[in-house]
Amino acid sequence: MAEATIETFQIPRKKKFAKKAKKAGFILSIITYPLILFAVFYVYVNINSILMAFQQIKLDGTITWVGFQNFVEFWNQMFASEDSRAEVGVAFINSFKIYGISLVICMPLYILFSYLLYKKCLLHKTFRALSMLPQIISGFVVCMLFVNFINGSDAPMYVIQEKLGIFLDENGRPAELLYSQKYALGTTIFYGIWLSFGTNLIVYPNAMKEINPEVVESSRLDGVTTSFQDLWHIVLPLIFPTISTFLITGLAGIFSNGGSVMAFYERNAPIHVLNMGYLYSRMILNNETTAYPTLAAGGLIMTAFVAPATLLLRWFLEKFGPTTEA
Amino acid sequence: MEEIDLRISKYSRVPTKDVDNEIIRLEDVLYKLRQDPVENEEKIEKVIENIEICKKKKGYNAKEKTRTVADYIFRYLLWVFILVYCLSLVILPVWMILTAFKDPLEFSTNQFGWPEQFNFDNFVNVFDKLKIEVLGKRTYTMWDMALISIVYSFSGTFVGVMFTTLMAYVLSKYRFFGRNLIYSIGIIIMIVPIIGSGPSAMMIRRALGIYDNIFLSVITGPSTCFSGLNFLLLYGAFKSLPWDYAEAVFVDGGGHWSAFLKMYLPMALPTMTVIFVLGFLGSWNDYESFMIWFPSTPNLALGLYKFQGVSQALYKSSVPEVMAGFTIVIIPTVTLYLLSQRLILSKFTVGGLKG
Repeated sequence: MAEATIETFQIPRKKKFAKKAKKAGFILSIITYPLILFAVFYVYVNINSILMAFQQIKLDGTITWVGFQNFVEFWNQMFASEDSRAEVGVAFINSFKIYGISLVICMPLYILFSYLLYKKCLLHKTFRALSMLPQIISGFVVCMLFVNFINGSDAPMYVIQEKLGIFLDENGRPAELLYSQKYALGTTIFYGIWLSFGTNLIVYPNAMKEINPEVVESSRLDGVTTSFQDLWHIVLPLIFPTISTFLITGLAGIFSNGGSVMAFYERNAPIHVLNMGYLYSRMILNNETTAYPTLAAGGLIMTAFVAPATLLLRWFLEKFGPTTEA
Repeated sequence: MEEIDLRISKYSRVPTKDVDNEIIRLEDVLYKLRQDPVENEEKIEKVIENIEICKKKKGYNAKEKTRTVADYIFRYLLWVFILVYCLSLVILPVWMILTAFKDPLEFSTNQFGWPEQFNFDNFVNVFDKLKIEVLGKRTYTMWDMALISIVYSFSGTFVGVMFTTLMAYVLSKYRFFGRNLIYSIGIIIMIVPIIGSGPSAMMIRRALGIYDNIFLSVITGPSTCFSGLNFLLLYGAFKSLPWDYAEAVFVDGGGHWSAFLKMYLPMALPTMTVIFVLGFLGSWNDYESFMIWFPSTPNLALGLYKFQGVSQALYKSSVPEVMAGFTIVIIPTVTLYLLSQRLILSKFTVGGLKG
């Protein structure tokens, strides 16, 4: 009797083990390769980057340890006075300007436009499809078309500037919008904003579409009558997780996004339009190996700025952002 | 004398005309009550109170009307704004297509008008002229570059979507040691960037022989496939599906792969298609990665980028020929988008960052 009991327990145990082994085999077969890639191309790359920040690479490839020299050098470049400000300093400030402008101008516009599309305004489907045009027909093609549109004395924009008397240089003639010290940064930022609506006009209306119609109906009974009230009291709190995700990832990418500067100027961007993302890409493109350690040190300094700021923003949004719970 | 019972409140939906009539009626009642003020003291107070409520309601109605008009104007302005924006997006591609059909001579006098005669020579010429010589060793024709674009866009996007899907499936459906850690790392690297690792990545890629090698770059591409918006999108899609489907497969004798391939993959296919199409569009148009990481194998985007930059001096080509090249390069992406437009517009949603 006792033996029989042992037998009945042994068979399920074996089965259970086989089941667990199969499950483990399945999981390992999927996660092993991506995790190895992650270890090499993310973890090791970043560890190497940290080590590189304390090194100096000479032209013949010799590596020497220099302590915090690269950090000091980058810091001085970043916060140099306006007269002696190096490329890094200008790029650092411009990166903040670009993020700030996109936050203040773009985000409200994305939400307002999306709200209109969510409310199924006239031609809403056409608007959504058209807003994706730059992504569909290629960012660089649109960029080149934009350049042809605004650059040169026979370009349409030149004629518009001349006729309306806007965007003029010191001599009262239409300024070169892509190269003028006064307008170039504004032009690149405008272009970035102009192109950025596509994906946002898909994501936000889709998030709004998830709102329960009963909530909207009951809000009407509670006195929510206008679009603004509806947007402020109902829509914004309910799509806040989506807004929050874009705010956080936007801040996280503040020093990595090069925007369209590479497309406009390739390696020859004037100093006043530089941003950190472009600067890094250009230095890698130019294979400036000797500058790598300073860039790595700069990367760590900027990470020290952005990482806590991103986490702080996330905490702030979670703590003080609108909530749908009673 | 009838009892005074007023049902109008400030927020109730009563037309202003009815409120006006009610005020007249109440004033009439008040007049009658004041004939004997001592007897009707309480009733007079009540009527005066009701008249006040009616007047407030009238004010509220007026404000609401103003708000509705303002709301209408606000929506209308916003609509005009979005219309102008969309038109501005259309102008450049239309100009590109019209220019592509113009004779170079005609273009010098008629830059923005309709072509006098549709000229297809530019499309033929661009195929002949668009050649890129890399490091003085090999010359790439437009066909070569188109082939590189197709292979890179398809394989790179496919590998990326496949690994992202598998990781999203395992992390959303299975409980195992380290699962939460992997998920948290994915979220952390998404929101806490490590800046300036590009130079280090370049050195390591050179050391491993991955630099300037498209095949190795594609297969080592998904190093952060458990992070990013695409991962979150697929993670959410799998999370919303019940585990019962897998149980049914196990009962029928199927394994974990069967459950994934037969049950969950088909259900996640629409979301995967959206990610694939958007990824394909991005890869097809990506010239910057080729400029930095694969300088000796140019794709069509990089070829055209270089071509338009030096076209007049080096290739003796005209703006209409460059525009013809641009028109050719956008045909595959426009076709792909039109085929999957409905899916993209409905499936692309982003939630919060939990973890």
